[in-house]
Amino acid sequence: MIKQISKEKAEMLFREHSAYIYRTALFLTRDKALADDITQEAFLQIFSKYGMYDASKPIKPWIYKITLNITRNMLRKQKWCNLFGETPENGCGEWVETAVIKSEEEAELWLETNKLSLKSREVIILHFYSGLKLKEISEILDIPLGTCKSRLNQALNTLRKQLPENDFHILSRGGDIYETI
Amino acid sequence: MKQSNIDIENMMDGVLKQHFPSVPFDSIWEGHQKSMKRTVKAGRALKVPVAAIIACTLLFSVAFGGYAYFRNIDKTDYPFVDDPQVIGKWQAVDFVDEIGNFSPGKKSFEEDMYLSQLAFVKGGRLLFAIENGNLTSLSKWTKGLILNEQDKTAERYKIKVIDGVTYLFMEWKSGDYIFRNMDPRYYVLKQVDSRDYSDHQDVVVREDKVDYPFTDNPRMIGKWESVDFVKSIDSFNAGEKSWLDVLFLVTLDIRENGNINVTTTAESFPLRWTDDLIINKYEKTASRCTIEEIDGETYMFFEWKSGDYTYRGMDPYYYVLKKSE
Repeated sequence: MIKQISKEKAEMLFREHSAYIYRTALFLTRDKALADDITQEAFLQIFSKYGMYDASKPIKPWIYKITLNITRNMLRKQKWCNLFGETPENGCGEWVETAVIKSEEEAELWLETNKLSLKSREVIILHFYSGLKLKEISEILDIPLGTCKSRLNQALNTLRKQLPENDFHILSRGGDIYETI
Repeated sequence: MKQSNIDIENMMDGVLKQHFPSVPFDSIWEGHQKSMKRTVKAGRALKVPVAAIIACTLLFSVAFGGYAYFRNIDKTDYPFVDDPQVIGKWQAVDFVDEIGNFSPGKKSFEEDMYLSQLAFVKGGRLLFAIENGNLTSLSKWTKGLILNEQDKTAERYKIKVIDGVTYLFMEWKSGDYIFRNMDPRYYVLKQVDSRDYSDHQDVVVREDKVDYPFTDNPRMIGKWESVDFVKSIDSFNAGEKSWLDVLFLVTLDIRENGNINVTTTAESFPLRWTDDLIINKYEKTASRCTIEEIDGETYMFFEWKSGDYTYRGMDPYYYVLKKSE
């Protein structure tokens, strides 16, 4: 029989990950209501599948894999709705209050990041916002490490082209190469 | 090589940290509990011989047609009709198969009840308290009916006065009704008051000040290992573990310059500290750490600010950590 998650454990997971999950979904969907739905659905799945989670592995990639799958499904459904004009499409990055962006350069970077394809935005948010290593991202997205790396490089190249005054790099922290470890 | 004068990490962090999900833990947990109830009960159905299941489903699909084959869907878009006598708070006292089975003063349901309280608010809002938690907006009501748009159920309620006490009998449409077409059972609730809870706020989010400048505190620095989880500092007895479950927080590795690495049974993640505070800027909590010497060992009492603190206004418990390095 699969072990049930306790309320205490569930609440701790929610407390630690809900904001990140919501923000990831928000960045990918650009829709606050949809991001709320994704957060809710993700936690329902996390709680019900918790007994199947391999506790010897880090939990973050497992949580993000669930989130990404739900987000993709929801976006797929939304595409159908858009075809029939049922939901408005949000503009690139316009859901963010401009007051929170500190400088013109940041505003430009935000806009360009939002213009990237969904695949590029997935690797960008998982790496730069959620702080996941490329190996973890490749597992979440079910793609080879090399593909993951090239997808991220491609996204950074696009940003370099659009914002030639800047250079952007894959993260490395405290000697820990975030690329592959 | 060109230097980046803006970086993606900080830009994204700056923009996204302004956004928080609006869905509270309690409502997700309740949804999870409901779905688990359905799953658990569905397990029993597997014991029924396969032939009987096939026969029943065939009969069922012939009788009710396509969609009902999968689940029951009630009409939930009724217009609001006022019912002044239902306004106020009701406390669950029993859970019965039939209204007639209820005997005042005798609880026939032997387990803990899932539903604890209901509060009917003027205008059609309905507040639920599950497993003795706080009241939370969950459904709507109109005269004689409780409408749950998410579960697509319309549960009838009936008010009866028995021996001078006012009771409300509410149909409980669980997975047994929704997926297995069984008759609903009834929650029996006793009237607590007839106050209007229009001013009720579901979630009071507490946010601590988190933008402290860094102040060094050499006593904080070191590696700390959790040994207990207690309600108050006074209730800790060195050498005894009062918390029966596994301790979720495993270690705090507090380093110079305000860095901490937190290890839980699930994962490790960085936080910041200053003086005697551990800061979580995403959750907007600043947890005080009280350091005490007990029997020659150094212990830290770390305020654990969970959802009970943030959303339900409760005082934090304390993780007790022993200095190991």
